Amino acid sequence: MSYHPNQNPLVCIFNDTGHAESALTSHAEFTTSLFEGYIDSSDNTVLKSPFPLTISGDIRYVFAGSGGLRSLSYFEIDGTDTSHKGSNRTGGASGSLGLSPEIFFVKTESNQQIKLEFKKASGVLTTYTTDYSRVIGVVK
Amino acid sequence: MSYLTHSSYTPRFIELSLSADQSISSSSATTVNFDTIRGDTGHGVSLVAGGNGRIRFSANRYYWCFGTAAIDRDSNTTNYDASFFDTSGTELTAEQGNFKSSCAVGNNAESRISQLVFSPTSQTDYDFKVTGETGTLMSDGSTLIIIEMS
Repeated sequence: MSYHPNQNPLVCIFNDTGHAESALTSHAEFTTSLFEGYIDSSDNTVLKSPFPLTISGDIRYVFAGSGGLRSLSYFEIDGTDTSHKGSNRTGGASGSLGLSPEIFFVKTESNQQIKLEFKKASGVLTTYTTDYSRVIGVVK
Repeated sequence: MSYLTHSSYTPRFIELSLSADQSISSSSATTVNFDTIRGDTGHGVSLVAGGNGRIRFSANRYYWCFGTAAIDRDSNTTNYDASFFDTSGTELTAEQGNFKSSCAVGNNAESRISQLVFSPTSQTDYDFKVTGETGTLMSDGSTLIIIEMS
């Protein structure tokens, strides 16, 4: 791994507030970047970096419906869904905690548009938990 | 004319683990008693002597930590969390690079990953703790993987 002098090689971007979403397919919103990588000033669902990255993502939410909820989460790079996905299924009761059972990864190139997409099986109101979604990794 | 010169960091892997199962008798925050460490030559992580699993990180290095805490639960009616705390017992925040994991109500297993990303400017000690559940913390499945760059 090589970097520019004094560059922090870490990536840590997340949302420091909870937010609700009812659409079947949505993009995670972000508020905070601690190290390398930044949130687009005009669209808080878009992440960018002048450097190639190796990053992981995961999500965590509670939902307002019943009967459980299945969901998929993955990165979308320059408008294309990536193939490595995290999947999960909550318990049946309203308010159940949904979370990816695995984190998912992607490698990006310089200045690509990075989004974290979330797709669920029904349109019930879903509330992302504070400090999630999160994107963590290193400069490639 | 000027150019961007490159420097390079050497990544090292470190693994902390338990040599035996650990009883968790209180749902209050309980430090995972890591007692075994192995890693690449030259790494800067150690277990504090007498610290019951307290982890010491060297200054001026970059850390990305992944932790799992596998508890054989006494019940599954509450969430239980695994997270990093400072030595005064205060849980680190997301702004400090700490992201806890939660094992949800009704789930009997925790496959989720706690993560900590930070770059201390001075030697720093942290504890990896579980909260919200009693039971047996299993040595098979409870581990902390650290990627260190310097």
